[in-house]
Amino acid sequence: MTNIANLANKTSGFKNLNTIILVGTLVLMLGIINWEIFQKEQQIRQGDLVYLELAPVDPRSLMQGDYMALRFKMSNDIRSALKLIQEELTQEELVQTEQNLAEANREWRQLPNSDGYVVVSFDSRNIASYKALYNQQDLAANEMKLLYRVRDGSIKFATNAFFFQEGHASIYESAQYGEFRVNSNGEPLLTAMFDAELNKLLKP
Amino acid sequence: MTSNRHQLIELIEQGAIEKDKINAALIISQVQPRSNDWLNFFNQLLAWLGGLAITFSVLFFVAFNWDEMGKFAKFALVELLVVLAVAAYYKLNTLTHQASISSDHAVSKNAQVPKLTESVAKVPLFMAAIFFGVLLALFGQTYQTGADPWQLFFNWAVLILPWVIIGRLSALWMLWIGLINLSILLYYMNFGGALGFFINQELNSLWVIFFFNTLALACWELLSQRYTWLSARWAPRLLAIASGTCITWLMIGSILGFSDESYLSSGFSEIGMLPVMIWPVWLIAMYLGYRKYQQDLFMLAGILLSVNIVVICFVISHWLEAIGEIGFLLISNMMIAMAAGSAIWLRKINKEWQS
Repeated sequence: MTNIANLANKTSGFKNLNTIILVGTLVLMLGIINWEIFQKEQQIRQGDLVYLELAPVDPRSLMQGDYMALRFKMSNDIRSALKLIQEELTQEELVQTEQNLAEANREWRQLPNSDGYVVVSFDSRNIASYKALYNQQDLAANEMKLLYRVRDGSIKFATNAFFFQEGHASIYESAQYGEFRVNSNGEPLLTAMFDAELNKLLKP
Repeated sequence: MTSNRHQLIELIEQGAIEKDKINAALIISQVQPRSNDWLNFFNQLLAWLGGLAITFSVLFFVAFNWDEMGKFAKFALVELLVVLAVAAYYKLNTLTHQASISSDHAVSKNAQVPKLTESVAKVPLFMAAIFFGVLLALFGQTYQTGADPWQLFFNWAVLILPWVIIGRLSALWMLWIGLINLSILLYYMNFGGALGFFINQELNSLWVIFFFNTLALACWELLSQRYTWLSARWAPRLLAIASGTCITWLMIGSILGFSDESYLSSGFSEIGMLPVMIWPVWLIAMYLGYRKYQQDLFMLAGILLSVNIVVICFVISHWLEAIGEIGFLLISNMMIAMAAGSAIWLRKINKEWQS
């Protein structure tokens, strides 16, 4: 009898530990995800408001049923700045043989993946314009830094697509600006699309 | 190949089994399942199908009502499902535990009543792990943070790891290994070059996936000697397919990379000689492991497939142009001969194991 009791005790000990792990993991998971949700909601409510102007995208790929591809004018400025840096680097490093030039050209065409900050200044309507790449410099009162990511050769602010319900594409055709909320780390969050007069584009 | 069925038929024909005991023999030799086996099977099947149906129904429900439901309603729904699934797992687990203790006391009494099998009790835990992934995906879709896709799967895998460990379920471990594989693949696709998939920079992902799956396979086979719940053969076979595909592909790349005529050679030029050293080691390890320690015909067949592919690829890339038109005939004959030879060898080994 004591053997059975011991066995039961032992297994119930395992069971207790398992239960703690089971519930502990659940609490941890939901805690993390809800904390993240809370953070994002705070950012949407209290983050700095910034509008970025859209650059024309190939119209065939602009609307894809339930999302629109996004490219911001700021990306072009960043691209030019990054390529300038790259060019200088390759010119310094490489002996200008023909083969090296070809290699440099190949690298030049495609930006390598990286994360970085860009310094933007904004006007009275909170529309951002490009100032410089961020390099630990001090920021003026009407300036802020904004996180960008280079992935597969294209420059992204938060996301490169804006999702909407299927069939609502016509509402967003007049989009001119993307509205972002930026937190203290410079991480942007896309919240809505706006037209040329800064009217929010809403679903009917 | 002599299966149980054939052996039994032979025995019956020889009159070695008495007529009125044939039914019992059928059941003992596992040719005919018992009614309990059927009940078990339906139990498992319905539990898994039910779990799958609930998961998909949630997915479609959220997608269809994307705009009608507020984002908090969606989060609340999925979080509630995670909690419910965990609660269901806890409840079922306690029930099976009690059942197993009480059956120790009264073995004969409840023998006819189909017990809640352990693996059925674990279905809710598997679902909870899936629902958590749905929750992560919902978060990413709602806030569009622009995080790299591999992070989703990696975070998912890391956070469900404790459940995977306490779950002691093959399917959960395979889910976890699959998630890690997916995040490795997405990571290298994200940070690789713009060249075609499986060529050049993506070679790194092939190497990493090969090593990860081979390691997982080795661990699985070693641990399954100790833990019976790891004994399901489909899992290590899937792992072996993943590791074998990667190393065979790398080997092909190596062959094509060193034959200058191939138009693919530029893409494979960076692959180097490493596969030529690793592939034979992999072959020998797999052969010894599955011939001697864990007899598995499926794995041996996989090794042969890999060998056949590599040999044919070598012949085509090095000799086809030199031989000329007749080469196609010779190579197709060679393929047939090698495939037939492999089949004969496999039959021989199977006979050897059965006797």
